[in-house]
Amino acid sequence: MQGLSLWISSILAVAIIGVIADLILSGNRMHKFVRGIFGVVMLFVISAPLPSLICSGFKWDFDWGGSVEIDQGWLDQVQKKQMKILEDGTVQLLARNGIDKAKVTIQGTVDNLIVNITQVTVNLLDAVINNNNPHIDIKEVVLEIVTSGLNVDQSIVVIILGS
Amino acid sequence: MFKRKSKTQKPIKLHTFKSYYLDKHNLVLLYKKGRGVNVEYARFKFVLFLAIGFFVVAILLSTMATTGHAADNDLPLNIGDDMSQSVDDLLNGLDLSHLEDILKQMTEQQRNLFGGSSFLERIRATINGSIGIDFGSFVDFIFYLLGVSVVGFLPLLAMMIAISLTYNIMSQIKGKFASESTDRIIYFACVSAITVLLLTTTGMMIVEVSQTIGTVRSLATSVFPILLTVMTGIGATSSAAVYQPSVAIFSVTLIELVTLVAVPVFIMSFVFNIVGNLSPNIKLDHLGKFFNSGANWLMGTMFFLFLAFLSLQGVTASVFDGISIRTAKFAISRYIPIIGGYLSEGFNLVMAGGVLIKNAVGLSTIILLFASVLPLIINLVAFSLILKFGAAIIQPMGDSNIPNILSGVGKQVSIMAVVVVALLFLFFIFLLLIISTGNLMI
Repeated sequence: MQGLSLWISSILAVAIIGVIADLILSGNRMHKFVRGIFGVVMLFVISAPLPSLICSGFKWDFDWGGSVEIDQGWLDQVQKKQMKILEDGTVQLLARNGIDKAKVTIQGTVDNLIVNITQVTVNLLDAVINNNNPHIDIKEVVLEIVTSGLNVDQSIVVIILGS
Repeated sequence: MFKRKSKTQKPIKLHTFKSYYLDKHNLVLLYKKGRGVNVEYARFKFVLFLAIGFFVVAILLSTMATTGHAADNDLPLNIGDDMSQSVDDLLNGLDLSHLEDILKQMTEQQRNLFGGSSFLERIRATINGSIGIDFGSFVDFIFYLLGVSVVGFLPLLAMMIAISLTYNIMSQIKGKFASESTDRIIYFACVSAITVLLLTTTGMMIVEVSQTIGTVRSLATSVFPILLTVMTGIGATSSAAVYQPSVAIFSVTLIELVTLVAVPVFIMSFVFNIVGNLSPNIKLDHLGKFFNSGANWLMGTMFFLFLAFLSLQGVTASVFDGISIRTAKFAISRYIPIIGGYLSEGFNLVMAGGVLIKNAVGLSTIILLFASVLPLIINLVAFSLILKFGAAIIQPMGDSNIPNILSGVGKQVSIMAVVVVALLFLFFIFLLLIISTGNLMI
């Protein structure tokens, strides 16, 4: 691109010099010779890029490259929002099954809506269990709800219970 | 295409002049007495063309003015508040500082056309359904700019007319007292004076063109990363991947093509035009025409190819993204059996927020683009018209070279205006394509 601009500018420069010479030497005996030389120089300048173009097989030096920087911070923010929805959904699922105020933290990625969960932490320290059966194993129940609800393996589910 | 009405199929009357019925997948037009098939077909084509036009406009308008609709469902999500919160959060996370800087550098009138002095506020207003610009105010702005430009060029016109008038009066009154060389000196002095005036004004125009192209480049390099980020965020990854190299081509190659080819060719043609009329011995007008023609073909071909590739790839990628997202939604509801539906709707909410932001950013950028480029285009058009008007006024006075110079320069300025309009159009189409991408995924 720069070469093209340079070529146009050089033709312009030669033309301007030629015109100035023509005006100065108007009526002079040298006038005809100067015009002839000017014409030849102009021909050379115009045809100057041709040899290099032929040698290069008419390949232009346009820059087709370049890249656009994607704001990864914003994408992380979107992913956090999607993970938050996943956590809220799990909290609501637990609430429907009689376990209120559980805190759920999910680690993983959401790439093009494809959810990949790596760890689920269920904090039951402040949880309120609305279940009439006092002999239930709360850990087992939560594990069952979370694994079936999120379709994840038991090994990635961490349940934090009170002392 | 045309079939006779079948007994079993009932025609649907659409207008008084024609009827049609649907035969499985085909629209079958019926003959009408006294009407030729070609007339009907031409009308059908015309109506179809209008319908497609309205459809395209409707889609574009709907994509621009999307204000967020959420389907009723039994989910415990508070859609309205969640949506608003989601959009706010996502919007605040975007880096709009470059666009704000561009806006700050604009004049008061340009900011008024844009609809405020903050890009973020403009986006918020657009998301809330306020486009903030109507046809009337837009036309008012154009006429205001045209008036300002024309008034600005009037002193130039007056001076050029005065110089031509002086030259003609002197040519008339000198009679046989002055020699041929004296006549040439007077002519040379008058043409030089007009040339100086034209050079000064054209130089200013070239500076203005360069500055505006710089603004367009800044706008492109600032807005496309934002739009592509949002597109990636809403799941239109294939479209973003397709548009990414196109952005680089647009903001580097095509804009450089204008800066490094169109502007030098304009200067060259300008100089050749003046030189050709200044000295009878040197004629460079054909060289100027050759470069003009070459630059026009080069720019036209590049712009057309770019648009063609962009549209084809964009449409294909958009369809691919739509299918991918639908598949992913289906997979969520299947893979996560109990809360899959909740998740799918929740993700939809985030995506809808992203789509709203993308459309609002795109629309605001279009207005900003017009506000940036329109003053230049109108200035160029006004300058060209003034030069041609000057040539029209001066020509009856007798001399033909000065009108030729003015007319030639006016033509060159028009070509420059066309190049800027083409760049604006390209950017506009690019933004429209991005705005319309990903809207059907939610």
